[in-house]
Amino acid sequence: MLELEGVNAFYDQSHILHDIGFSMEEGGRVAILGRNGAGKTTLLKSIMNAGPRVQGGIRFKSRALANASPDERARLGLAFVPEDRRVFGHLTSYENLKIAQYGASPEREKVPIDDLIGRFPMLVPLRNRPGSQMSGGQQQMLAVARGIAARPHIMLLDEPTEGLAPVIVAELAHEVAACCRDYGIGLLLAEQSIWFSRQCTERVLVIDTGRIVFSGSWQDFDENAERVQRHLAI
Amino acid sequence: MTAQIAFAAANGIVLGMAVFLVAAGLTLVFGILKVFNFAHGSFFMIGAYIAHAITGQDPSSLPYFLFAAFVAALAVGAMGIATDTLVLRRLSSVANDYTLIATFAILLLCDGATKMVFGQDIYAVYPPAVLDQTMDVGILLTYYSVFIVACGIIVFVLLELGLNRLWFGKLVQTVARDPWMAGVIGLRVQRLKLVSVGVSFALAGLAGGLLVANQSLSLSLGHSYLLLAFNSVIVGGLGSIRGAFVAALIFGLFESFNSLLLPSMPGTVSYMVLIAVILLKPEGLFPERT
Repeated sequence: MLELEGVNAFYDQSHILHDIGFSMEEGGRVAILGRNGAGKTTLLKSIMNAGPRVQGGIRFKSRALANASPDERARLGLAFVPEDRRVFGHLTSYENLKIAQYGASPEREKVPIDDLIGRFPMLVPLRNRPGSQMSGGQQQMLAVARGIAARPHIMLLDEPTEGLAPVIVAELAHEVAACCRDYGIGLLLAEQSIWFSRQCTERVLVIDTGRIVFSGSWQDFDENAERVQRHLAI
Repeated sequence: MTAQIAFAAANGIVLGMAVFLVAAGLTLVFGILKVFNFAHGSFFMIGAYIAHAITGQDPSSLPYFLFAAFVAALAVGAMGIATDTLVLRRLSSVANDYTLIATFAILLLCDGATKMVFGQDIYAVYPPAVLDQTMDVGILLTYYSVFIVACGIIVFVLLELGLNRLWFGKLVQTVARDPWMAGVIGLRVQRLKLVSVGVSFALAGLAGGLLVANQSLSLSLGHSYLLLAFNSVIVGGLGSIRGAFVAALIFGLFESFNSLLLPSMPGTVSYMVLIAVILLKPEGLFPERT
């Protein structure tokens, strides 16, 4: 479904990602763990072509993405939920979800918007509230729901727990895992929270200074805890 | 004196609506591309010349006059699409200074091309017969003045409804406010921008076609409204249709009363208002909400 081979990414002269390679199957759920500045966000943005200059091969659904713009990638079935949420403040919750369906992969059946809102209890009373009048936690829920609304093949979710209260983190983990399972959405999750990542994914990559230093299941992760923690500790 | 004040107020409203018709496209293009289009007045002038080329000096009927204005709108809209494709889009990733210089170059190009095509003669265009009459409502008003006010209000209402109620308008606002995220969720950002820019320029052409009967048609026509239109867009809040509408009315009224009360110092009050707003509320009366 998604294959990266020898991917290098740059911001101007800064070389951020070094020879990244991994693959994801359809419906696979993978966490990318790493410290601040390790390159997690850059990796997601590279897959989306939404920032860094990228060299190397990225293939999605057997198609090379080299020249595809972000909107083309979205229409192919990738959905990116950025760390800073970027909900559209002039649109209501409902409209934020509806507009995301414009970017839906055409061959995928859309997620009914009211069903989706119903899955996020926090959003139910906010159906008609503009995004600009929501709290950070509410915006985060909406941003994740917006990623799901398009029913993408893979959702690229960037640090969704940052700045959220623990109770909201638990609710978000439950909804992300349930939606991915029920709607057949693959998940590539960049996170620092091991607990959250474990709830939502089945495989884990650890990235350090732009290089993948560990790849395996959560069981492998636990068995190599000492070696892996070296790359995660501050 | 009461009649003079009433007359000045009526004139101010008419001038305000005329300024709004010009400012509408200007503020819309700023809202979408974040470009202050110096050439907007020239496209307004081209619209007026095109309408005149269709109707001649005496438009035979109101429908024909409106038809000419719509043809002018379509033609100038097409020019806007070409301008965006050939110039503005290519400058989207460089500093705003370059875009300002480019729009100034387009202004010179438009003025030169208009001179070559239509010559330097000054033309007079009269309103169609049905609008070329006066009514007495305590003061004498021409039907054409009322027509301009009605056109201003209709354009304002259509833009407000189109941008805030229609789904297409919401898409346009989304692209204007956060083009990066709009692209990331799969919206065809360039296509939406192109259509919106076409509409913005078409508004300049429409304004030219509608206002051509209000003054002498010459190469300096664009400049006569452009300054007040720029002032309205700045004072109203860059990119805000509602702001441009209110500010255009304010400037129209101030200009009119300025002529009545300080006839030897034309335009003084408008610039004082502009300076005061820039100092006290630089984001304008109706700033864009994020």
